[in-house]
Amino acid sequence: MFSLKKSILPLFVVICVLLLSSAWEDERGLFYQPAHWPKPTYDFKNNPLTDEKFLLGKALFYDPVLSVDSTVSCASCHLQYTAFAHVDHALSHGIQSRVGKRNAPGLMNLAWMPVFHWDGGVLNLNAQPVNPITHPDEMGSSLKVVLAKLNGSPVYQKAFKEVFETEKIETHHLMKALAQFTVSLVSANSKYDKVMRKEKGIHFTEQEEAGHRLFQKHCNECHKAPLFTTHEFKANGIGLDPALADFGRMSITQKSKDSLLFKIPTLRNIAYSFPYMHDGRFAKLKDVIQHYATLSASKGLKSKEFSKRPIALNDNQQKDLLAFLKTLSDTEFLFNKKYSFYSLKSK
Amino acid sequence: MGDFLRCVLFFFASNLVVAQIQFTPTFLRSDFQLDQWYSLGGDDSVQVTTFKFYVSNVQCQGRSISVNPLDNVFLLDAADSSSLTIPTSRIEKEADFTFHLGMDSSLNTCGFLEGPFDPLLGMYWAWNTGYIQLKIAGSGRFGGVLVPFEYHIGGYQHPNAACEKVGVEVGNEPIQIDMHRFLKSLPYASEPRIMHPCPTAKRIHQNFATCFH
Ligand code: HEC
Ligand code: HEC
Repeated sequence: MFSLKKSILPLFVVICVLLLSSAWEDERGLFYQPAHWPKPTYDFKNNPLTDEKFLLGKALFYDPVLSVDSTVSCASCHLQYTAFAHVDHALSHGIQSRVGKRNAPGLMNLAWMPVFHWDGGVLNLNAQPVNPITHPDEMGSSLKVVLAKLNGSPVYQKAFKEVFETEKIETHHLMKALAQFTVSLVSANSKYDKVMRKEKGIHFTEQEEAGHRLFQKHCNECHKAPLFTTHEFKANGIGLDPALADFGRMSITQKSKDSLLFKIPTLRNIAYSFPYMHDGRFAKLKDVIQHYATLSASKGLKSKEFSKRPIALNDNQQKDLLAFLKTLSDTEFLFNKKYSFYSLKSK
Repeated sequence: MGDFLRCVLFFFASNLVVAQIQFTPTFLRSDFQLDQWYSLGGDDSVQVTTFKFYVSNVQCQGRSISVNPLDNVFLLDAADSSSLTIPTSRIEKEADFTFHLGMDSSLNTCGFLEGPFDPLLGMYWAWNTGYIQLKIAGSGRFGGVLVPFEYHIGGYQHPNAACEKVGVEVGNEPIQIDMHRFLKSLPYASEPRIMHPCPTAKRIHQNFATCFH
């Protein structure tokens, strides 16, 4: 028994190295685990990543075939160069009902996200695309249309048959393919990451350094590194927009203590994913910082973290904080070809 | 070997049957049909156009009918009579069945999207992960006034979880679902439309659970 283990060990190491190196290879779309990050919450066993499934998922993400009238794709609201957020639109439009009440968040590091959407109403990344594809009040009807369209497309029929070994494309095939793409969107190569990894020749400027200290003091409790969110639900004092009457987490739990709480968003690539907050009410990052700097005067509901340690920031400190937030931009992620437009039809 | 003996027994003892659960919606002793108008007494009548619900964790003589809980979930749809029978491989004389009307929280959140879990079936709640456990919709005429009604009953979180344990004894007889009793209990006037987990939804589901005989 012992000798068997011994003889398998080198082989095991070789396989591990091969697996690791292939995952890091840039032309490949697969997920990778940055050093010193927590373990992902996504269940990879249930949807093992392959290059082919990733490419199929990417093609679907960019294809308006997923909307009933073939006008809107996932990428219409989630653009790569804005960290997969919906730029310039405070409230995403394109499909009706609840989705139209909220700002489209950036999509990155979803493998570590335990629950999805601003109110945490969606528990599985695999099932998440059902939301944009269907209207909550007529569930299933447009999913039917979309699956019929895919099953009627020779290109998609062939692609799904190749990777899922199925004659008929069903909901779970479509969902798993899309998740292969979305779960692979890992952003972990910003200037901040390089500084933390002590990469040669890369340092914070004095201003960024000062901003980092302010961040750790005032923001890190909620926007916790390395993901820059604890994924908890909190109120940051922006208050209710009466026109939208969006009570956030409470609509899911039905508990009054959850009124006006929203999921803490990541701050990675934050300089690119404007406008800000669940309803996109702030157009510029400096407006957000000003909101926090003047929080004590705000009438909106505030989580207790803010009363423990009131945030008072003068103009210079606000600039320092802004400079630090900009170090969270990962241009490699924003412009990486492995995430950009792809179509099976052009192949 | 045990199975073989059971088969032999099955052929020789005619009072043994393959245990299956068959559900028959009835309205005052006649079979209940979708789209038909039924009188609830007085000036009141109702017509049901959609009637679907989940049954899970079916146990026969105290044992689950399948090893994997995900295989023990059934969507019964009045529009599809074949969905109203749950087959089992058990052979019994008289069987005691228990089942859950609805699904518990782990089934609601399992993330499995195949078979009865397929969102295509129109029972998936996208905005608040989970499933509608009971969907009933149609119209009522109350004192001459036409009132459409629609109930999407679901939720798996305390205190509004829509999951009830039901026990029935089955011989050769199908389980009757007493639609007269159930339709009389719905709050058409006060809440003709419920689409989210709430105490009224929970009460509707509890009432529904008392309609199986
Ligand atoms: C009409 C615009 C729109 C389209 C099209 C759209 N989304 Fe979104 N997306 C949103 C909005 C708005 C939210 C936030 C919803 C909420 O919190 O209620 C969101 C949230 C998400 C989230 C959760 C992110 C988080 O941080 O919780 C994921 C994942 C996602 N979308 C993926 C997709 C995929 C995949 C598609 C294509 C099938 C898609 N989206 C199509 C607007 C859109
Ligand atoms: C108590 C927890 C908490 C603290 C502390 C906190 N935030 Fe936030 N932050 C949130 C929540 C919750 C939201 C989302 C609020 C909403 O949309 O309703 C948010 C949103 C943001 C956004 C918008 C993100 C987006 O994608 O729209 C930025 C930027 C931001 N915070 C920066 C900061 C900075 C800078 C600090 C420190 C000065 C800070 N936050 C401190 C909880 C917190």
